[in-house]
Amino acid sequence: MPIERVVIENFKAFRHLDLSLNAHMNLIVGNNEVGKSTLLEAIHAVVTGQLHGRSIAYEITPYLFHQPTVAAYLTGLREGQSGPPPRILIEAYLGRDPAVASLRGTNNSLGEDVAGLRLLIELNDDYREEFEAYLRQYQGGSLPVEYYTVRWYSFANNGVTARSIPFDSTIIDTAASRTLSGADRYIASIIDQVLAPAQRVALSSSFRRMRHSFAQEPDVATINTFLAQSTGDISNKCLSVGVDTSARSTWETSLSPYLDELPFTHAGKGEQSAVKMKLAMRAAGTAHVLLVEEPENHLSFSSMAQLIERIAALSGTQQVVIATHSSFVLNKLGVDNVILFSAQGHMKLEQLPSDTHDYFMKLPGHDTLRLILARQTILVEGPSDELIVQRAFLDRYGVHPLARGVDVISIKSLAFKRFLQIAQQLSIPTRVVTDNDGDVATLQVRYADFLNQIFYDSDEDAPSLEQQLIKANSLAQLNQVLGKTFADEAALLKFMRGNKTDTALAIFSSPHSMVFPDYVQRAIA
Amino acid sequence: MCSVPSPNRALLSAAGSGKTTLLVREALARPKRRIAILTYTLENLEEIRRAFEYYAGTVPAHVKIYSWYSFLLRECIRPYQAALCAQPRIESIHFVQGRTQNRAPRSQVARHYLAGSSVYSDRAADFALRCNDLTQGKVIERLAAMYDELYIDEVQDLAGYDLDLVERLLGSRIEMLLVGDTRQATYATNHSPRNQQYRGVAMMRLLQDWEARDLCQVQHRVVSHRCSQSLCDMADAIYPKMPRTESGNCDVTGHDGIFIVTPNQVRQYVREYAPTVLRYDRRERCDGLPAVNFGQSKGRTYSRVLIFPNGPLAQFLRTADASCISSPAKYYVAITRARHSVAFVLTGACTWPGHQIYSATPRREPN
Repeated sequence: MPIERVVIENFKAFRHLDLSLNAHMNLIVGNNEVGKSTLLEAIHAVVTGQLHGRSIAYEITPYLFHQPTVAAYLTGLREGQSGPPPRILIEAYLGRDPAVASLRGTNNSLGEDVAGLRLLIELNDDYREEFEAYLRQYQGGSLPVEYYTVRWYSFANNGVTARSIPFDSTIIDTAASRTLSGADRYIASIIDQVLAPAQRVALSSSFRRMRHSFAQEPDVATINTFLAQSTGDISNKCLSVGVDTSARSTWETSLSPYLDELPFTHAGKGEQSAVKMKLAMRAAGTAHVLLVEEPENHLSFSSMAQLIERIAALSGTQQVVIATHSSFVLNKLGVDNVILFSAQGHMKLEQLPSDTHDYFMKLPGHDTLRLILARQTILVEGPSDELIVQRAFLDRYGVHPLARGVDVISIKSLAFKRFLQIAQQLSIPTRVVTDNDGDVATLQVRYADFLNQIFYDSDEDAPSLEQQLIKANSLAQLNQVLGKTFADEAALLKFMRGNKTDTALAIFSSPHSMVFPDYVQRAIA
Repeated sequence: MCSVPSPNRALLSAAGSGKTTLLVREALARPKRRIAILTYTLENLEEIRRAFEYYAGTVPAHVKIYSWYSFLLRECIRPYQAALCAQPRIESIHFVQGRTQNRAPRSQVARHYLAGSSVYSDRAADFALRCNDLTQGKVIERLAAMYDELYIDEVQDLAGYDLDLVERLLGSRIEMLLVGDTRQATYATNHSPRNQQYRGVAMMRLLQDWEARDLCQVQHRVVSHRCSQSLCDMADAIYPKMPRTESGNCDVTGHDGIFIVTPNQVRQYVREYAPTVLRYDRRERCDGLPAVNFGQSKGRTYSRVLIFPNGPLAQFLRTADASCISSPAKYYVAITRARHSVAFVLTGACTWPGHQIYSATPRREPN
């Protein structure tokens, strides 16, 4: 029973997110800071009640909330408007499998009759007066989360605990370097998941016996006898040393996993990541979601390839959600499983018109990824156009386009429309620089939906880039830039047409400046 | 017309017939079925848990035991509460003494059913039924997805709308087993005017009606494994219309049956037989001995009991006329607690046939 849908409100980067997940493989792709990790965190939180490896109740901070929403609420209060205090909602929809019928009900934000879990971080009504008094007193302050409480319910509206939920999640964060005392508690908890209950009991009871036998060691006993003789010097009670036998001291905090005689935390980062992931995969069953953050981190290419193979095999029997930057991961695990995230929203490739979807399925993942990760793009129809636009941008702004978050992508002109569709879905500002090919009318029909994103010159007598360049510059200027001595424009054009890329490269790297056609100027403005 | 008889059973048993044991054994015999067991009182819930621990070490994974109101709240009210009242989340049951004194009509949902975020106990099942109706049966459908079988112990405790809910469950695809003894209706889940006519032994009429409508089959178990025959006979006497009880306990201890003890011999009797002292309520002084109220003794088994009778019970002993006792449930419970002997503290003559007079064995003087 996979998670079919996730709804998030007011959590970190998300004001509102309503995302359908695939039953098996989900690839979350997007720029930094658009909420990929937050999505994984949110799923893990609603399934396990844990955030950053601890119970959420201990992890409530003002920064968990969607900041613009909180700011709007506080501003509203200052201006005398009242409204409901911000609240975090995370919901996981688990469908109608009878195995999870106990979690079923209509207590969810969509009002659907399905099994599911909801996590609320909201104002504890018992503290409403104190909360309001605080906000009146400290108007510029942040949200007083001390008055907030965590509520963790099933869609049947009953309280749940990690034990009562017949569903589990493992999060693998290869980037995080957790420095916990003793063993890495994170890996300890994963090992704990792998062990059968009987093995777990055996481990913790032998650990307890070991602690106990420590005190029986002859040397330790001698020392304790010595200490006992000092009674009165230090305290009136009998002083001795021993291993902490309280419940607090469990094997998880005292034992360390070893890899080939080396404490786990001393192994290489890449090996650590791989081991964590493999262990987590062992722990996984069908009622389980595996959340992996950037599997490409710290791994050599070949280790990553192996790992990806395993993840792909695993996704046949359970749900996997992976956040990635790697076009390799993307290609290996199937572009059709991609969920694209951007600051403006998210989409699946299947939401595109089917011919566009098929086109991207065939495209190497890299180009798709480049578009998805760009903040703004300018699409051009070949390498020479790309160089000209690059140079025009550099001349105008003194920096390369990428430095301003503008990615100039060269694609076949036939693909313009498909890229425009995907960019529209993701709300990525995109412009196209194109030749008019001597037929402005056709151009206008083809891009009817995107007219203000298409930049071209309406002079049908100058149908190509080369003709446009000649039109904008004098013969002498171009001769200087190209280091040539053509007698007339016809000869110049012949040369430029025959050596498109060389011409563009010469222009791009020339110490002399030139005039760029008006439509190029407008496109980069 | 040929119809398959309902798989649902209503099993009415005499006191001491091993109702709890039966439920637990039925559940343990069906490890492939998902079973919920419900009962009203927490004491009985513990009793069921202990029986599982005795027979199986622990409550097995395919069985879930609930108290009646926990079941109502968690599995009948909350999951589809939004159909009737989405906010607030129903946090708990507001246990009402007597009836909810509140004239709000059923149409004013929040006022009629809720005290803050708690639902009035005598209206809780009504709330659940309305959620079920408003969702075209989703409450029952969800229960059927969760459980194959549902057992209710001490079914005679159910009252008011609770019985409507049971009727609805009998009509579902969940296999139901109702177990109880209408003679022992010392508790009621609530005091709603609804279904008042079926309180106590009158619940039999409702069960027969369900049987007639093919919602369940009514069966009687008349063998008491606990009480000796003379105790069964006296208990039967206060419910003359119910089937006779047969004793399955043939132990002979040398002090068996019904005894009369005069007040001045009480101390001696207690020293000799160490009975558990029972009383109707705390108004009975019981000569300063530690005593258990009749109601509290429900479900318990003792070897011997000593009863300090109140007015009606003393009257019954003097006249052997059961009509002296107007609400017999608690008396029935008291008489059926012992395995071997029931002694009454009484001054004057007793006309109950077959009683024995206790006379203290003379104390042996130390040599």
